[in-house]
Amino acid sequence: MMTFLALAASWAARQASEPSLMERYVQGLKEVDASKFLVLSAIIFSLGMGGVLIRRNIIVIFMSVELMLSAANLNFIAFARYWQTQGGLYAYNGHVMTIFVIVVAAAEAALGLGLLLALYRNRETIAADEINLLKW
Amino acid sequence: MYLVALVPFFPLLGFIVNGLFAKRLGFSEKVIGAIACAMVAASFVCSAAAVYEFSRHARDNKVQAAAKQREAELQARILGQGVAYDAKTDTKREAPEHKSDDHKEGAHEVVATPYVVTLFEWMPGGTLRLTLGASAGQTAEFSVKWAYQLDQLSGLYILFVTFVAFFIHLFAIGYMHGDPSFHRFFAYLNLFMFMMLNLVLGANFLMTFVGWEGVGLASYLLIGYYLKKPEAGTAAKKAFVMNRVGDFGLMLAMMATFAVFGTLDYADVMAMAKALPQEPFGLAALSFTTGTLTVIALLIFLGAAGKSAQIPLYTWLPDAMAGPTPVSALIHAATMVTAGVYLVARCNPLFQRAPTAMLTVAVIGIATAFVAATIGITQTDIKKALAYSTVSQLGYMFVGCGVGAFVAGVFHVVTHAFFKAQLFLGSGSVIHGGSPSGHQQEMTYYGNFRKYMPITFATMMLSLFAICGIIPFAGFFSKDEILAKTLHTPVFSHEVGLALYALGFLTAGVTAFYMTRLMCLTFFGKERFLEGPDFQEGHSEDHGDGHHAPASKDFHPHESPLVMTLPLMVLGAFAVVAGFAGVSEELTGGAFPNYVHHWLAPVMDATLYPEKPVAGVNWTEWLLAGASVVWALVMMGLAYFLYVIRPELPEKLAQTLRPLYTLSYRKWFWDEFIDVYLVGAFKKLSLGAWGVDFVVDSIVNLFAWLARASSVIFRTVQTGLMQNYALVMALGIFLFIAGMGYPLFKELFMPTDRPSPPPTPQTSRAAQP
Repeated sequence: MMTFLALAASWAARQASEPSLMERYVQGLKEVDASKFLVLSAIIFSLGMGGVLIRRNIIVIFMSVELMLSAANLNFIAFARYWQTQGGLYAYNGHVMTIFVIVVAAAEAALGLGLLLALYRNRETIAADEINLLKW
Repeated sequence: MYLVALVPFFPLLGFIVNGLFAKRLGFSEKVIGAIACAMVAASFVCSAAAVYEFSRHARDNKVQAAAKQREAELQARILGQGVAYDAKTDTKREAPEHKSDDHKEGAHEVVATPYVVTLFEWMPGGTLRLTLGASAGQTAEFSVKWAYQLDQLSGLYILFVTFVAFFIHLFAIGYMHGDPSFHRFFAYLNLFMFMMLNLVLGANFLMTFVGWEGVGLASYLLIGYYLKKPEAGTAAKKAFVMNRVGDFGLMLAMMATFAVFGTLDYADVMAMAKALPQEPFGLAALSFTTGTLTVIALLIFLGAAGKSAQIPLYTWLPDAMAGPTPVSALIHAATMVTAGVYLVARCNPLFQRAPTAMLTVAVIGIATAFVAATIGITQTDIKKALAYSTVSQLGYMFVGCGVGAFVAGVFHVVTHAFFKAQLFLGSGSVIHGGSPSGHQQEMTYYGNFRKYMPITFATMMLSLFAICGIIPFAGFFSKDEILAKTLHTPVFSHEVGLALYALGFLTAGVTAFYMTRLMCLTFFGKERFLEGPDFQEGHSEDHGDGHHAPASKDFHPHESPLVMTLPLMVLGAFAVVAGFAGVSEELTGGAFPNYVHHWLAPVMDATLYPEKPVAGVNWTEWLLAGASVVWALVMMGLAYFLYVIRPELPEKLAQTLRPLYTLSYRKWFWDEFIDVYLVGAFKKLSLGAWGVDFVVDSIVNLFAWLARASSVIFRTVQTGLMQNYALVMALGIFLFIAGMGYPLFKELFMPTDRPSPPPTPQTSRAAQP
């Protein structure tokens, strides 16, 4: 009984001294640092990579690639913001890079879709596992 | 004089326009013909303007002095007295100021002043070490430029080539009328012109070689122009292959030339060659140590023999008559085949230093002249007879070159271009109008055409007199000069000269005989055109127009339209008057200038065999000339007697002299000889090569098989599925990052239990404060 009380007291004491989950969440929102973005970026990137690796439809693969690019963009922005808070000298490099990536991604999308159209006209399919002529 | 760079450009333009656009844009025959003719005409105008300007330029004292200075420098270099030669500084050099005494000393001697237009550097090479001849061990810059050189020789050539070609183009408009691929024909003709002008105007051996191969190509395309005729294709291949044999010699000659002189530019090579001593005569000269120039000259002559159809490479030319007649006139009589003579004349300083090569040229030339003339006697195909006549006349030109009379050889090229082009065009006119199909070439089905084709007949008679050497027609002056120079050759002993002269004299008579025979069979005697195969039921010859029904017996041969007869008349007129440009001064005693001789003198080397001044009228020359005229007239009369007055006699003669007749009719069995001894031997050789091939191939195949067998497992990695590749790539990147990143991660975030080592910069980042 005493043991239980002691445990309860210590729990209560810890509850009182440490912020609650909700409090920590709110706290986290208040001081958003780079790591949050990095984690989110990693998650998006992984989702994208998973899509590229397992989906059959090339259009979806394409979308997954875009997802990976977005993740990279997020990474750039996050670091740019971080360097800004640190008083970095070239704080806008990341932003510029992101614009670059968006432009290149747009071009790549146009080109890729064109290729896809041509592919579909020739092979009547856009399933990635049916396009396997380039082998031994 | 920059116009000279435009001269080859116009035909190239014509080739591009007619070849690429004429069919697509649906040009009519008139437009195509007008384009082709206009381009050649423009070329001619440019040539004339450039040559006129050049003739004034060449007389300029400053230019002369600069050329002499340069020649002296080059000669010092080849004799090993100068410093290493640098091609780059040479070509751009300003005219050096000349010393006045130097100028006075050589004031009377005129040197060649080639005018070179460099368009771009074509083959920049490194610095190479020369290996042959006097300058062995020196270095030279290998640099070939796309450059056109205008001098007296190339100037003369471009003038008559473009002039004759213009009229042949004009003739072709009429002759090729109605042909389904009219534009192709004219595109080829213009391509040929471009290449020919490249050949003549090229400022170095390689430029000439481009043209050399180019005219070979154009010739191939045009001989095989009638795609449906199998013999045309065969003849085209034969011409190409035989020319390749010659080209091989020319290529070797170029390599040796560079190894000796360190440059391929004509002007430099010839200037340097002038300083070299004459090489020994005989078999001893046939090596690179004692007879460098002899070997080079012989190799050049091999090329020339291929292009100019000399023994042993002459049989392609008569077969080339499978092409359309204007082609025969343009390529196989007037221009391309004279390229060999051009090259020999161009390299005259080399040849003069190689008496062995000179003798080879002369002997081959006279042998070809004689053999071809004897073959010409029995040919029944009008174009083949003319082709053998061309071969024979080319032989004369080489005799001229071989005995040191390069000017006479080139002059014969010019006069021959006029009268032989005229004869071929005349034969084209006869073929065109002589049968319903317009393709009958057998003289057996001609006869008495002078009634139907008066203009063709009259103009061809002019050329007949020209080729037979009747005074005062063009051929007389050129042929007679060659014969006279042969008799008095400074290069060989008197006996050799006499032997060459005797054969040449004999050949002149044979020429007169077979040419008159050709004219008699065509224009005189009984009308035989109704016996031709066109009038037979179901004649098998396909003439390309697809009609096989026998033609109506009302047919009469007809004269050609003006577009065809005008070239006949103009060229016929030149066959009469062209000779006066080069009247031998031995005949006139200098009263009438020998224009051609004076014009060409600067490019002909006179250091070894200086010109003897003309001392009045030489009556011996007149005697010789009179003898050859009488001889020609006698043979012409004999031919007239045999083929017109007593037409049954030739048949009997052929019966009596059966072996001789067969020898002539079968062309001295040269084709058979090549077939059995060269082609046959080659086939046997290739059988052995096949065995070697099999063994070598087996070894190579074994290794290939081993590699293939061992790849059975590993190649399955290539699934062809891109997602597999992506997965492997992702895994690779993951491993890479993990491998690289883990030590860093450990250092940064996993503190070790061990006490930290003393903080030195080398240990680790974790230890840093």
